[in-house]
Amino acid sequence: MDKRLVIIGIMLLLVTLLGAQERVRYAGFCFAGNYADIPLNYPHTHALSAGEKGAPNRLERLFYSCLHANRDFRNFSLDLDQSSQSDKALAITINRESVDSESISGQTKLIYNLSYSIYILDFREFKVLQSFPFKISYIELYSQPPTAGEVQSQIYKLMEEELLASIKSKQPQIAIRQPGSLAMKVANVEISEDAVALLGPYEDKLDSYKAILANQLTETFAFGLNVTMLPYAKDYAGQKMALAFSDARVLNFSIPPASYDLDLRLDKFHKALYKETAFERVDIYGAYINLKIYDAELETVYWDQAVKFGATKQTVNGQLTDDFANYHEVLLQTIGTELTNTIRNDKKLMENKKNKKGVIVRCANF
Amino acid sequence: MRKFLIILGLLLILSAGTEQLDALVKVKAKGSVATKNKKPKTEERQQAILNGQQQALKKYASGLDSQRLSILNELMPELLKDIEKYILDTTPLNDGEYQNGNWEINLEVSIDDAQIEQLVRQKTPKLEEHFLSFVYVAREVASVEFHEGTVSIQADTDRDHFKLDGSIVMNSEGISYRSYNPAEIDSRVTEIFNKAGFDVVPAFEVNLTPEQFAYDFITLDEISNSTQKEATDIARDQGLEFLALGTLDIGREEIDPVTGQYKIYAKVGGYIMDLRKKFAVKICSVGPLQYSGLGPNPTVAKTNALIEAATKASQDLVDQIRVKLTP
Repeated sequence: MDKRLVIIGIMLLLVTLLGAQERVRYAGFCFAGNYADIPLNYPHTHALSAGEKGAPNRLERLFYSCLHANRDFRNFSLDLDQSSQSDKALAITINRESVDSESISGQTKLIYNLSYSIYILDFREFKVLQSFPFKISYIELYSQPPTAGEVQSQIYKLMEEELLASIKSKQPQIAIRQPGSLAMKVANVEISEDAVALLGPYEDKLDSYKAILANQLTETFAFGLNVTMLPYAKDYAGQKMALAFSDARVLNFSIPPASYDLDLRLDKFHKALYKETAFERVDIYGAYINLKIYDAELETVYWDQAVKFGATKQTVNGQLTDDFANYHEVLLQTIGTELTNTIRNDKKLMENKKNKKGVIVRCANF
Repeated sequence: MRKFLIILGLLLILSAGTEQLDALVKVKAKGSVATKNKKPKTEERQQAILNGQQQALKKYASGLDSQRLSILNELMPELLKDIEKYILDTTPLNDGEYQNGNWEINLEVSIDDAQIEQLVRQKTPKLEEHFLSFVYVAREVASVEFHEGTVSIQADTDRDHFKLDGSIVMNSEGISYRSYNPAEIDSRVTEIFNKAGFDVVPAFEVNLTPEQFAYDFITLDEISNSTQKEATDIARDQGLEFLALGTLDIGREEIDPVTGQYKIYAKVGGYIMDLRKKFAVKICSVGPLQYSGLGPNPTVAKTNALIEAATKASQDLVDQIRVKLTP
């Protein structure tokens, strides 16, 4: 009888130990970067986050209510009541807000490019442990130039309908890295002179464009390849990141060194006529990139390969063609789907045997 | 039943281990072993990993300041002998490869910093009843006066000469300082000296006057000889064996371009006087070294910079004095 009780007790303890999901505190919504520049870098999101002092603002309420109903991630659950003693916290961060306008036949076209990241933070050592990027691209036509309020409503709607939906759908892929696990980080993004000349509005904003590409690469590795990713930092030497939370707290987090670094190079864009008729023309747009997975410290290159991808774009005669938009779309597909497929088909990177493991498998997040 | 207990024990160890892993330092190293086999035997692989772990420990030590490096170099045989005690985890970064008669593997090694610190404390001499007091003073800019000066240059020219005509405006600034001593420095420095085994006697207990040091530092840019002499005499009369003196110069605030926060630099210098002999002897010194602090406002940035500077300088002094006191 006593023996049975002991076994039941041990079983219960075992179930508790194995079944207890790690609890991670919710740190809230925050802005990445220079605190003083928040109204300049994120004018609309900043306006949306304004509210009465002491009360949660509109964005805080939006994220809180969504996460309240969806607390469970792959290997952790969110502590929204701050009742646990965990040092780890999850923050939803905005990294980029860009709303560009164009005038087309008396109408105003607005292009929304928004980048967000879920960061897993260590509040004891003030480190960023992981990054899971999300991006939203959206184009809307307005009969007349929209007011700031209309733009803000649209951004709020995109957050509510697209960002939250995207987070919910990827929750099973968002996992806390285990102690001693390996991680990767985008270290450098280079753009060739030929490609720079075709970057349209980003020709003179290269750092912004590099950040977009780095985020896309981080997203590809984190979600497409299940790799533990650290965030890309513009200032590679400093490896610091400031996050401004809605309660006006500004905290500096360090980005730890990665086990492997990634260098992305955009080599060139290519455009060629595929077909032309009296009514339309079809062009092929291509992007050529090169990705290197390496370890600078041990002078080891694990993978260094060119990847290219092309897609056709149809234009009705008389319609204006936005070459940059097409190049950009193809480039994101190259860094996204095409690169994912190339790496997944690479036996060396994906090898998973007892004594032979590819670097992608070594960095598996779960 | 027995198996259950073993599994349970392992789980408990693992769960405790996850907490411990937070105090580690990750170091990358290459492990290699001379072999004729392109596919190494198990023992050759293990030897390569052990060599890599040893390399990682040496690499970790070489990244530390010179005094700590010299302490760890002394302790290196012991560290290498019980290497598994100081290395928490070793993760291969690749499968290893055969090159020129060597099989090499890239490793990421997690070193237990706290365990090494414990060894340093165990092996360095017990500083029994060594009384030490310290005076650290800090100053910051109170006001800056700009002075403009003009230098005129004139020269004639003819066929063989050229002519210069103009003036240069030269600016200079007169800076006045005020004292700034947050209490956090005292507690941090006390902690470091205490951990090193010293009995820290507060300055007021031995009638030392930090105000006099601060006055000298603000007005003279240094601690005057008379103030130093007076302090060492008082300290010796009161039975102190060591007196540590430090000066911290707080720079002007600026905006950190990366974080957008306030950034302030602090310059630190210091030394320890050994009062046990006939003459007070400066047995170790540090600086001047510069450290920076960040904060959402200048006060926090300033305090962070001062704590960082005082901590690093004190740690360096402690490491130096440990070496000096080793029999």
